[in-house]
Amino acid sequence: MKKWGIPLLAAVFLLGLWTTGVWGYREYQARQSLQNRTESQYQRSFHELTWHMDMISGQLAQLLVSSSKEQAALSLATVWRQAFAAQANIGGLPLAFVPLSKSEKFLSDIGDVSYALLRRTTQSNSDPSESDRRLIEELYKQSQGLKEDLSRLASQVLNKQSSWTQVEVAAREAGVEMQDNTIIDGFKLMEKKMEEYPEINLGEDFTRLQPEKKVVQGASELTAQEAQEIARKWWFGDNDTHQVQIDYEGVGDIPTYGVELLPLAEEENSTFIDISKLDGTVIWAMKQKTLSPASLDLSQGEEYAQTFLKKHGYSNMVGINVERADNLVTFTFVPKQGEILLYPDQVKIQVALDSGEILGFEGTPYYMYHKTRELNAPKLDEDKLRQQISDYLKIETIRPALIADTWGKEIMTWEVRGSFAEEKFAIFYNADTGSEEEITRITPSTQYQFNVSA
Amino acid sequence: MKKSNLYSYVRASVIVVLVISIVVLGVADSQTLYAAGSSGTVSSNDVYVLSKLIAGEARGETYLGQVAVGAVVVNRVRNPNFPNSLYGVVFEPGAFDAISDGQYYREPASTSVQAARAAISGWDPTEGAIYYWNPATATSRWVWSRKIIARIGKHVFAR
Repeated sequence: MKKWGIPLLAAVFLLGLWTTGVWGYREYQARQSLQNRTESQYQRSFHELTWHMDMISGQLAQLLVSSSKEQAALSLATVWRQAFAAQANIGGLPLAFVPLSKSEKFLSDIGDVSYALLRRTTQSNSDPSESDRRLIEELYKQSQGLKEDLSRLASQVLNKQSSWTQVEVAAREAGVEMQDNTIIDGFKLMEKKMEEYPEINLGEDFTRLQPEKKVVQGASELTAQEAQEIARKWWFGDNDTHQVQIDYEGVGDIPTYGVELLPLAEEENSTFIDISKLDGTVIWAMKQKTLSPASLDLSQGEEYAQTFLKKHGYSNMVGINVERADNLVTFTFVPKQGEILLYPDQVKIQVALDSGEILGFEGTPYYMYHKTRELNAPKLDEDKLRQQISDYLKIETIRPALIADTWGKEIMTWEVRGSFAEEKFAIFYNADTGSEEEITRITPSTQYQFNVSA
Repeated sequence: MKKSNLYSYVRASVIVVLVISIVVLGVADSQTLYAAGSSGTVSSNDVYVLSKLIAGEARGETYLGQVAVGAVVVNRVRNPNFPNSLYGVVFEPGAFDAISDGQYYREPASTSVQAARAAISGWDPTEGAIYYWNPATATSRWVWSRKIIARIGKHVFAR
């Protein structure tokens, strides 16, 4: 024991040292290789962004020099696609904390304008008008600026071997000193130049509008006390014993009180109700519950939802969508004016299929937009409409509906619901001209089994 | 005599350390096994991805606070300054701590799944917020320049 003790211990120590060394070096190598892979993905996104920007400004110029409507349609489709790709490239870069709102908004504008022009070119079968061309020229000038800044920056990044992973680390950990600010400074400068351009006036043809909001005026602003009373009675009736508190005051589009009803002994969780300060209307409400196996089917669930809606003053509502996951169902309802469905004025209700209990109510669109409108009966009659529907669509229902298009404009349409193979669609035909205004895919998304922790 | 005492002490400690690490590793292993077999839910992929983000970002928040975090993701998808898909927004480099520190990769609780469903269906307690942060731990000064529109639980929500 005494003889062998010291050498043995020394050998073990050396062996340990050697193992640690090898292990450390392998870890270092693995880290380097991982970092190189991340870096290469960033480099790809960045260089592709530069390349897409170059394509965009080239195609915009091509639009101006060409006078053929076929060429115009091709160029517009290319611009639209490239703008989308450029946005995806920016999204793949670690720039979450570099303010780039002007540049990103510009890319999104280019996408919106090219899409709207493409639609118009194909619908009216004419090439872009004089005012469209002026807008395209303006977009070209700015995209040229953006393109120049980006490609100059790209050459600097290449020349200095600047690292994107370093930008990412600096963004993640505050207080990390950057040795090389090329990338961040380049993007900041680009954004600053974008801010200096005058705001492009897209005009109402290209601007995404919100549908016109209803002006809500109450007698006077609701007090917190009143909000608490309304919240309690709204969900649980007059004899309710919940403790109530105000969690927050919302200062968004609608000023609200966020009321929390603290759980009673038999409840798992609080109930949350958001109430408009303007007139005491409940905007949305929700609670969370662990559900038991379903004992109700969808139509029974819908009855519970309808009863709840009627009790709270939403009459004449028609179900337009059902999403079921486990034993929780979300129904979407819209009001009817005469026979016409008012799509912009939606209400959503969540129903638990174990007991029929309502777990959620969302009435923001209804609150903001619902009013009686001046609507005319469709000029196009149903038989004429049927003749123009594609033979591939297996028609299920046809009904008149008011919708708001991508640009927020309300349009009177015929809604045709049907299916092709596994896919379900709602197609909206202009009720006067018969042109297809919108196609919405309403196929329910595929559901899978997932693990959750308790 | 003294020296041999030292050796046996060293030997004993090495054994103790080994035994402890084996026990600890073993326990850690069996824990992950238990977690995997806990319980299930039926969802579409986007709902599950969002529920994992909510679980990582808003652990310990009320149901309201969890729906609010989910709503920020949904609002970002519609905003021109953010990626155009839910997956693009969730995995945008550096956008969420739970993605960077790996908390996202744990199993979500069923509350988070229900919160994700509500947020995707349109429930939005934040009324259109596209940023949120915890004032106690936020490191970036830049976020404070945004317009705050709600405070829910530990988080501040802003546009």
